[in-house]
Amino acid sequence: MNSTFIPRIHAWWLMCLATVITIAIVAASQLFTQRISILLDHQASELLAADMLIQSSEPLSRDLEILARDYALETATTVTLRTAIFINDEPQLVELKAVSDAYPLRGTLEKKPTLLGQAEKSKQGPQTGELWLDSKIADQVNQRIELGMQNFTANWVISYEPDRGGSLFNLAPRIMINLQDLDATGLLVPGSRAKYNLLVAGESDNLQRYLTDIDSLLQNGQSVQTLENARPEMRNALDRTRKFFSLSIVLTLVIAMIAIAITARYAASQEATRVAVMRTFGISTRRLLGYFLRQIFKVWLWAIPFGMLGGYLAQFPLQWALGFWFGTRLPETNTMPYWMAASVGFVSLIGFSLPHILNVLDTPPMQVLRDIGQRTTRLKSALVVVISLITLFIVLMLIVQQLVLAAMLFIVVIIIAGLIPLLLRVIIHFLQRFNGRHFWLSGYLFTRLLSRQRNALFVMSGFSLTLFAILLISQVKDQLLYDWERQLPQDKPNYFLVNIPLDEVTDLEQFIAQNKIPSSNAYAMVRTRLMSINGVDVKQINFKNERARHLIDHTFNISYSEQLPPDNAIVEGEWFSGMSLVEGFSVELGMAQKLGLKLGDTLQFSIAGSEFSGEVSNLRSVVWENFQPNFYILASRSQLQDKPQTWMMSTYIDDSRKKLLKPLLQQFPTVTLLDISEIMSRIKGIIQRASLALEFFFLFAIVSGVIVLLSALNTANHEREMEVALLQALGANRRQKIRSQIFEFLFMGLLVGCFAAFFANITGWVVGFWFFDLNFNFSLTLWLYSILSATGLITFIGGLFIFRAFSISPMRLLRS
Amino acid sequence: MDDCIVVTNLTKTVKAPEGPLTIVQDIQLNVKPGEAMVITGESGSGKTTLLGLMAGLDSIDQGEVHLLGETLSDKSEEQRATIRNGRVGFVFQSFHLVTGATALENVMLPLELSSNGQNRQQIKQLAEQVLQQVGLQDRINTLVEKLSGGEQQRVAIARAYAIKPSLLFADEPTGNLDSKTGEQISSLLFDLRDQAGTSLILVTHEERLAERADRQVKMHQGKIIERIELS
Repeated sequence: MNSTFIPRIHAWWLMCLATVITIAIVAASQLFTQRISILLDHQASELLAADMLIQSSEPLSRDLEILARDYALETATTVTLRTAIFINDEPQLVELKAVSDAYPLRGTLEKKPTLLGQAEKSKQGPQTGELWLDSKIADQVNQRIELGMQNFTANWVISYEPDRGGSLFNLAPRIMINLQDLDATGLLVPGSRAKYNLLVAGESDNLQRYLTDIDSLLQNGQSVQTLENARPEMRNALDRTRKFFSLSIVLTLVIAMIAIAITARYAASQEATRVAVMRTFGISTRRLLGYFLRQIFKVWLWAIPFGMLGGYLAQFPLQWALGFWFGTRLPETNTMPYWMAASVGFVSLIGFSLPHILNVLDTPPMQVLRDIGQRTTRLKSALVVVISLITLFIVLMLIVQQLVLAAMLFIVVIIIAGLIPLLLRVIIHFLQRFNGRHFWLSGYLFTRLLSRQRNALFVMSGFSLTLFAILLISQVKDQLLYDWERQLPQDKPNYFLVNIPLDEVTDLEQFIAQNKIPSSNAYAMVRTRLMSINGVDVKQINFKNERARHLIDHTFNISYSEQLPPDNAIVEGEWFSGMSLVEGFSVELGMAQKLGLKLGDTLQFSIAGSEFSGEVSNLRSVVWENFQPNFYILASRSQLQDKPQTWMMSTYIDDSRKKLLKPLLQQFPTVTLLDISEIMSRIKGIIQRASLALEFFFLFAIVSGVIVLLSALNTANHEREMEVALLQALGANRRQKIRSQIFEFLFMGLLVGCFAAFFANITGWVVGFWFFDLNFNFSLTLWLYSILSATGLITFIGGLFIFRAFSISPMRLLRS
Repeated sequence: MDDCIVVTNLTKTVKAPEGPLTIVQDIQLNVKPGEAMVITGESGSGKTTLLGLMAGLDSIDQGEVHLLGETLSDKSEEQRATIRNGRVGFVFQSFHLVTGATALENVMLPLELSSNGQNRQQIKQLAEQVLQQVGLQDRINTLVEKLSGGEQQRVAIARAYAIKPSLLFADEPTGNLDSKTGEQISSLLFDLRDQAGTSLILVTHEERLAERADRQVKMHQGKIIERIELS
């Protein structure tokens, strides 16, 4: 008799569904990461738009180019810098790239007349007087665009740029012009923050010799990228993506594997009688094992096409959400991810089902005469656990392919997978102590939840883990997006004016004052490099702090000021007095600690080849959150006033006064306007899409959770029907019967919801506190969302499944 | 006083692959208050079906059953459950206890469901008393799965008697027990019935259980073939 509203799902089909999910998870993640790998491995030269690239933050010596030509190598030059243009009277930050006629040396550009126009390939960049722009601002094509002191008409929309590459902070849309037009714009002034690239291509032997020869010509801060070490930022991005995904994939996979294990146990229990009958007919264990292995193989074969299709389709949302990191089209992949997905599906299926199958093979023939149950021993239980753990480790190795990472993930998974059911068990045991007024509603409920047959702990663990992960992502995202912003002052500056030439500072300050625009002081920015501390080359010093290492590897801005900047306080030493000629430095306290600096230490800096030094005169604390120009190192005026420099200031321009921006930039065309709110909104967009990608991935986990729930409902179906029949025989009315069963799902949902919300709230707070210095925020919305979604989903599916068990005839009690 | 059960022209037919199968046919029967009646017969004779129909556990196709003065044939399952609530007790062959719960909790279960306005403390006291009556005073807080078969059936009997039923149905109550324990359990059932004055309808294939009954009804192929007055 079919006693449920939804027909009882055959155990083997449920197992197949769990395998489909496993294959889909692996296929989707592998397809996505593989496509990025191929992009890096096979298209490196295209990524560089050359065979070799010399990068510098200062203009490169002409000698490098001359030497390349001596080796019969082709060269091209590009210069990139950030500036602002006006679109509909609104300033728009853009990343300007000026390219020489030979660009690109490798790969091709693609351009379109309009956003929706036909793309055409181009072996050359813009001609003199031309301007090409990003598809993000494609509506400006054929419009006049003011770029510094020069006017252009936008001719083409760039649809593909080989070396665009990806950086998380590739925030501004691209504008491309010919290198010969750059000077006329007046945007490049001494001290401008620009990147100079020399692209080189040619015979590999010549390249090798050239590489050896230029070693002596390269200065500090100049780096060489070849095909072997191309695009380290993209490799890092890939590595981050892989690690980022590894844990979430593994957690999602674990839930899918739990689904396989429970469905396998359910399938095995259903086969027990059949095995007993076959045993009575004298069928050997070997033949029975062969039969079950064929069944498992069939399940796998059915699961492969659906799993692969699911994985193939699921990679597109991932690509949409995360593909922007790589800024270019991802190449098509080979069949490897599909093989990998199928292999993981097979290993999981065999590993998690075989122990249960072996158990069922041990069913005694007496089972046909009377239900004597399975012969479970400690050895058998241990066998199930050991085989499951080995399977899990094999799957982890297949996915991450690194022993150490696999071992770490294995430990994390074991802890999480062991801890959650244990905690839930402890909570239920604890609640059991406070038996409610009615045993049939409370005590009876807890008893059933702890029943092994019910698998309720597995169901709750699966949902708890999934919901916890989703809530944590959402919580951290919300903290980053909203809480951080909320904790900032209301009148924080919203525009930075940078790239101000020294001779325009006074005029600009006058403009600002005349128009009553609130602003900070103007500060010089001098690009410099730290060479030595107390005479020891910084390259010889082993800095443990990553920020310190980054600082010494790159050029950075230092400034000078006669007065101590607002919100700065001297912690140690004394501020430079008046027009001091003392050659000293003021160092921000945190950076001083990271670099291991103290008062009196001697620092040596290099600016465009010339070096200067001085002692640390004082240590300062800085309020970084005030959004004012802040510097790690300030020097005395005498040291920097004659060095190449541009100036900067921060301002607050509300919406009603934005019309002032146009005359400001017309009067000061080289000034670059950085719209903080726009940058913030772009960062928000990145965070939202990245979190969306992860949340999307956890949809698989929800489906796996539902499979676990369905398996558990199937397994406990008989038990549940007997309970309803018993209550009915004892005179329970319909309301009591429904309450007794529905309360079980409601309570499971409530426990899952509270558990997930509590741990997400706490973990979110810990993450926020340690990494972003945010205060604890009790999120009622998060709790409500968690509880309502968990109770809603579990009660809906559970209720639907057992609906007709409510009208089960109590005669079942007499017949059983 | 009116009879507890009056059965008139009762027939039950079920669908079978080979066509409709009549399990119980044209039964006429009545049970007096306080009377102990044993229904015997070989396997498949229809005795368990008859018990289910009399207790309102199954729907009636033809004929009529009056249970505690209420007509069952026109009642829904829900209405039949309401008739049973607090007035009818059951003892099953497979005990059907709630595993994971203690003996006390099992006995409290029907008391809570009958909701006679008693508070938890009163219900608990009552359950303890009944467990004492069945000789399980030392096992009150033991989980039922840790009890022996005989003890489990004692809990089931205590659960049935806790609500002080007017009528108690027992289906093969000694079927899963060894003969010695079976004898103890049947003695207990009849002793309690004597003390409480409850009507008892007991289905069994063991003729010896009929010794302490007031009446024995023998069934064969769905029909009553013999009625024996024993007292």
